Amino acid sequence: MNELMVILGWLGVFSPVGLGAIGSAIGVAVAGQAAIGAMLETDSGYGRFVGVAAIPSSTVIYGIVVMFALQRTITPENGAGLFAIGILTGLALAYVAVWQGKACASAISASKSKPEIFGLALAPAAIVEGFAVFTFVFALVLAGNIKG
Amino acid sequence: MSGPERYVMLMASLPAIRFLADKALPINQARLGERLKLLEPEDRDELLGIASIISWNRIDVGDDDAAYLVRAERIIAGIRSAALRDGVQERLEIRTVIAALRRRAAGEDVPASNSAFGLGRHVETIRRNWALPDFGLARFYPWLAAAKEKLDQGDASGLERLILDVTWNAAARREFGHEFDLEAVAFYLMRWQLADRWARYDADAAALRFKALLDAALSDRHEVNA
Repeated sequence: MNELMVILGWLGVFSPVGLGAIGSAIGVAVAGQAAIGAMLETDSGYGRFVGVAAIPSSTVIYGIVVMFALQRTITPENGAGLFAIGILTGLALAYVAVWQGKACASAISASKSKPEIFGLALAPAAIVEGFAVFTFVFALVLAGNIKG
Repeated sequence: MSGPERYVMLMASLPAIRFLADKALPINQARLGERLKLLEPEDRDELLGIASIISWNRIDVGDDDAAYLVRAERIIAGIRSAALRDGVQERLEIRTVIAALRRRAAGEDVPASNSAFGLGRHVETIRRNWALPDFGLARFYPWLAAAKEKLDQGDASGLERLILDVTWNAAARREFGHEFDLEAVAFYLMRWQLADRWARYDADAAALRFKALLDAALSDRHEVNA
């Protein structure tokens, strides 16, 4: 049982990075394909499209910070807490990144034909980013309460 | 990439079509064909099958009505996406109602029960209600009264525009919620085809008007010379 709690603790510590990276990879790939498609149709603003496509990569950065906040000597006593915070943070970050990628793809697709809506079209992606920030901040707060 | 984001790049590479707002198509057929090379082979075959029953320039004119309907029903049954299947079915149902309006306006009798004159849910209703102005389908197609009025008035251009409007709205409604998948590509192509038809229709009308003006100008000149 003790070994299981330690294993869960390790899973929890690395989940924010692992799951965050999976989400970011999917999100950036989706938005990146939209950016490439938009480049075929437009004559300028390529850098802008690529910049927007990179937005979902922020979640893996939050994941790395949370991992460092959770990193400590893992014991049977703190394993469950590390697992719960880590796995839920990772899942939330992954989900945010995937959907943020779709929102960025839509923003790129819409603004290629109507450049004046570029800023506004990014609002949904920015709001989705807010949910990742909530997860990130409160994971850090709770991580400070775990003994170890 | 698979699933709902399968065609992110393709859809992002296609310009928005604003139908009647644009005088010229934002992408021509050759360029569109180039972009469609990004389609997976099985999706491409499915779209070609759909085009062969809804696109006037791809329908096999060698087919009689019965053969066309058999082929259309087979192709519709083979469409994998429910949204796309419903969209194609709806398109052909609208075409069936318009065809019935035209046939009745041309003085034809109620189609015989064994004759193949249309496709979809409303074929029997149309037969039963042949004498009613809207075939008893106003609940489904509120625009039928306006279509009949334009047909009766001989307003071919107005009728064409109404049909394109109705079909465009139906495709746009079905497209909702599909942004980067096969359905999005299919409905985009349907809307492109409608816009192309309208652009050509305008061009034909303009050509006719130009010819009429030219004839009028030449006849004036003859009168002056005479």
